[in-house]
Amino acid sequence: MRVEMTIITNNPLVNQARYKNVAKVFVETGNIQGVLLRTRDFIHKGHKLLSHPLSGSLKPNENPYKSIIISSNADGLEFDHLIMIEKGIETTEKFFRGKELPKYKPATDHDFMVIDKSIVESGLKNNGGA
Amino acid sequence: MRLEVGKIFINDIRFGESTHVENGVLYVNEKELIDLFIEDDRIKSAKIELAKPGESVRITPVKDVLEPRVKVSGSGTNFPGVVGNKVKQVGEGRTHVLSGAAVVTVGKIVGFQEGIVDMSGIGAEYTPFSKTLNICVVIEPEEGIESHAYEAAAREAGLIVTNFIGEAARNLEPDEIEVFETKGIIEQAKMYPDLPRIGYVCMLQSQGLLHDTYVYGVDAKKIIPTLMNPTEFMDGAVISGNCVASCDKIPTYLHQNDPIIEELFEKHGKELNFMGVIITNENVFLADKERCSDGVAKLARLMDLDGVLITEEGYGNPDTDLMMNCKKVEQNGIKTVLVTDEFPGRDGKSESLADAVKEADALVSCGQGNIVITMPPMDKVIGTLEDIETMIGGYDGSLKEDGSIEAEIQIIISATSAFGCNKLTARMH
Repeated sequence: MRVEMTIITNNPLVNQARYKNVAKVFVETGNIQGVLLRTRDFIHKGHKLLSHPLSGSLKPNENPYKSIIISSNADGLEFDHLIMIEKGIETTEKFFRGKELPKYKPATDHDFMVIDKSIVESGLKNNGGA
Repeated sequence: MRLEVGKIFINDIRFGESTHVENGVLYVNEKELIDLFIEDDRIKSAKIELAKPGESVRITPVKDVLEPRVKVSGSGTNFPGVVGNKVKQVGEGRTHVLSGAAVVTVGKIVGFQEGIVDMSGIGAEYTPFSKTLNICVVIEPEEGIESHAYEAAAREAGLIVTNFIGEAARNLEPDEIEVFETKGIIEQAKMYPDLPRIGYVCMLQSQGLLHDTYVYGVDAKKIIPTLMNPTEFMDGAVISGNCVASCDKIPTYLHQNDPIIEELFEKHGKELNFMGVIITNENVFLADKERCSDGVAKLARLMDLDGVLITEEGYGNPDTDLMMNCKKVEQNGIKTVLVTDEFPGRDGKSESLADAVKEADALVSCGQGNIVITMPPMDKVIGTLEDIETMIGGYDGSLKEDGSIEAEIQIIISATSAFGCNKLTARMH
């Protein structure tokens, strides 16, 4: 299998799904910050950011789930991508300072998973994955 | 392209035996409207309710708002490529509008992304749709149906009902006729050689489920930037299929009545030469963002523009598209002005946008979405208050026992819309 993309996610629905040529890293975290931090580690190691870290137009303190797509290959630090993920982390911290992530009822929690999955899949479909 | 927009002023809406207009009153028949879409097996039940400005009425969760229009002459139909499957070019000829009336689709799609329209009280001040006479289509989905299927069903129902009501305007004599016209690029440039050539870059939300926009029925995430005649928007060539945070949302109504387009036409031939609209998308992949912002800059250069206005829809990732568009257009020697809303936190002290470039030195703010207000209880709720606390802008304790709501204004439909349809802005301190 030629693995070109890697999804870093804390979304169980994305983790369970099967995508062609796509690897997954599951991060056990209840908010998106953990996913952003893990992604930053990969960017430092030379992986490229393929999807925007703040995809979805959902504010970080409202959305419990995040899936970020990076290149599976690591071939040198892309500084612009590091800035982008750092900005994502900074923005997320800013939102958490004002208001913590609410405890959602199961149905709403599931809706957030569905939306995140759909956003990831729309990106994959447009870029030769899924 | 030349479009005559004939407005029939509607000053009241009532239920009646049939859907028609009489002396400025729009009558609608509930059964007639529901029968248009109720056979859709994704929909369990539906009802029609009316809401008028000043009434003690709260409408929530609002999915979309649309304006009833009909094409009287010229090719195509209103909402081309979506309703009736007539993919014909629109934007020419004559269109009649039931001005003052709106169709509001109401119903829970996912538990957090639709918003509120209050018809009176402080909440009403923040949304343009407290001033319209609203025909609310309240839809209940079939149990077990997936969100995306239900979103599509609710979207189609809204379009079908709106076009059906719009038909009532076909044979009426308009109270007012406005004419909008732009020429081909060369002819237009020659027409006002001393005025700056201005374009409008309209960024369409396009990230996935409930974050989609359609252009002539095509999912906007699959387009590359293209040129549109401003009058095409007035005939419904662009429709909303999304439920991003309510305050940022550009409902179909605002695409039909884009305040930026109207303002550019107002100044056309006087202060500026309005050359046309470039539409582009807001996709999640960085490669798409690169490709499409390159395309925007290329089109702006091909049109030989002196300046562009750029609007966005949503927050976060679209800010990156906004900045990429700005930077690349500026690098071609074309001036840009950005129009957006802000999310600087409740204290207003944090950075307002998730991205910024040094070329973004002219920006119009449409207000900040994190401001907290308390909206008084209303006598009547159209829809349900069930999800208020999990809606974007709401939180634990938002819904008070007496029915009042304390929430960030981002819970209100189009409260900080980047089309500038509201009264909010920023002040420098």
